[in-house]
Amino acid sequence: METKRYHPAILLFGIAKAIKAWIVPLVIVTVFNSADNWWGKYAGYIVLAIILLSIFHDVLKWFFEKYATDDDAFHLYSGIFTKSSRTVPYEKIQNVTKHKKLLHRLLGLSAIKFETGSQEQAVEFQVLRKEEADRLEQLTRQESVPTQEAAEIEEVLDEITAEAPQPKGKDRFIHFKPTKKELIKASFTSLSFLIIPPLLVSFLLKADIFFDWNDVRQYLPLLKVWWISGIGLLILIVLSMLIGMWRILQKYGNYELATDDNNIYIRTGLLDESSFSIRKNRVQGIEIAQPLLHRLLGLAKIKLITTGALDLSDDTEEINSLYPYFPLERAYTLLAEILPEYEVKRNMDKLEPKVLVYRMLQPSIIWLIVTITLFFWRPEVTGVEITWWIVAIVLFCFIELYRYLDFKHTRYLISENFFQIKSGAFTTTMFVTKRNKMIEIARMQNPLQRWLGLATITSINRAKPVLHNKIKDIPAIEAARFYAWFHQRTEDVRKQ
Amino acid sequence: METQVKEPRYKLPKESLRVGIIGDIIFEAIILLIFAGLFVLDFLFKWPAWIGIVLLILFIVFVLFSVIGYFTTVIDHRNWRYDIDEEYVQLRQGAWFQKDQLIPVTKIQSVETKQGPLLRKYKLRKVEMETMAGDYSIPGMPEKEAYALRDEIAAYAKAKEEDD
Repeated sequence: METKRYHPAILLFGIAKAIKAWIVPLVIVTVFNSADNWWGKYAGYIVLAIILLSIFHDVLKWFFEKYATDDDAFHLYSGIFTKSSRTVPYEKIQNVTKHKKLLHRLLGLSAIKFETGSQEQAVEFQVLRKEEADRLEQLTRQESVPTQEAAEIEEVLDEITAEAPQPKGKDRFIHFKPTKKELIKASFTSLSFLIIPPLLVSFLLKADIFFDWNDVRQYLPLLKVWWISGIGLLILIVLSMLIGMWRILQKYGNYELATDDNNIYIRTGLLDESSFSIRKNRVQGIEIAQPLLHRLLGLAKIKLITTGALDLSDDTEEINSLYPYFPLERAYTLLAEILPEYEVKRNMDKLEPKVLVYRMLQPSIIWLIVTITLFFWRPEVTGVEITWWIVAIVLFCFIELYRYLDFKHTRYLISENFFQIKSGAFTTTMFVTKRNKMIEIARMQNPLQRWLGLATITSINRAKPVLHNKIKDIPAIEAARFYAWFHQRTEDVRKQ
Repeated sequence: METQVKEPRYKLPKESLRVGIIGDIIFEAIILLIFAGLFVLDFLFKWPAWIGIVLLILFIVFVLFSVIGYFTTVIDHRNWRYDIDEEYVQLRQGAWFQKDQLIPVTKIQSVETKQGPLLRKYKLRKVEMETMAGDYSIPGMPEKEAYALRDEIAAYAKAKEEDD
């Protein structure tokens, strides 16, 4: 077993990171510093010392941190005085994320992260040669003994190969690559162009460091000329849209969703490239979300629920979410293609009508608090006293509407191997999981629910953090069935 | 396929109710002492009248809650059920707000038993289980049974699923 140091370029990244973090303070204390005391004098040196120390720390770390791989596990060694070693078996690895920043790509390097579970820390390599990263990824992907689940998958696969083109053997099959049209559509749906005007305003408000407002004021009458204002507005709109498109393009321009027999691969990012891979049987569940605008346009977001963390360490870009602007129908067919073992059923059970009455009649705590506060406090907004009862009525209507919509959208299904629930007033979310992926369940009943013959059930799934999904007020008989159904999960779980 | 799950069989022992009530009483005694101290200070230093009124109201609320607390302790104890077999741990709590939990033993990561001074007096132990989703405890059972249950759970939990 050969122990290796991390790639020396990690120092370069360490330096870049230190400089990136401290360059602004450094410029402020050296260039813009007019303080005439000891602090003003030495601040520059202090910041410089911090940068040097952090670089020195990286160098030390590089000298003392090593790693090794064998047939079954990663071995990580660290510590300058207190030595520590950590062994992470490959079987524990849930999913793999690769990330290449521009700097990585220029140097032919890659960062890679192996997620291990809900509680443990991930195994992370900040900088590796591309080939080494691929080697490590390959190591963790060794074939394990075929499981019952895999056998099941194959059966299902055989059934549907007739209609859907399925990947054979080790070949990757690309399921989705957004076209130009889809990207443009996405950039409008994301509404990301809307963020430009507020950004511009906040920039203008702070821009007086660079110029004096009094100098600008003499040009203001020009805005009265209609075509100048018109052109200005047009430029603003075009600029907003271009920036919105650029943001989408940067994220999804290079997007690719592919699978082979056992894994799902997602690649995203134009300049900073990220890729994500997960074994199909490690997917803990699926979430199909439709925010209001998505619902109006018939689009949907699909997210894979995985045990590892949802995002990459430095960017909070969610990569386990599949392309978020699928037409709903396409989303369903795509799911059937990439995860044939998940059969998402469209016909789900509704709540009983009496639940609506029960929910609408419940006193709302939020409403009570707001109404009572307004009744006694009576705040003024721009000189006008807020009439408390108008607010109370509006809020009441809103709450009742919210409850009605939530009731209308709520659906559930307990089928042979799957548990499906859908809920949400404005953003609807459907969650699908398999019985053997649920790690615990609970059933709850309050006195009113008992009287009405209703119950609440919760499913708990592995994720980071652990995922609780609750559906309230289903018939008590269904809740009992759910309980019994979960009790039989041993039928589709294979033990080691 | 849809057969009913057996109701959890085991109840908590009588002694554990006693432990619960003694625990409540000790806690209430401490609060009472604090109240007594405040009333004495109020009397000695002639605090403004409204403080006395607030203290009195708080005291009445506290007495009310203690009485309710006594009943909830008794009712909770009476309705606590648990059960364990080779595959599942079942917990049931609450009378009005009832909660049933079904935990596959394969998902249990650790079991331990604990004992405080009160539990020791009645030769009881608490059994705590840790799973991926959270911690669960059976608040008090006879020492021997607690150890036996711990060993039983540990033995069952040895079986691991392929996914873990």
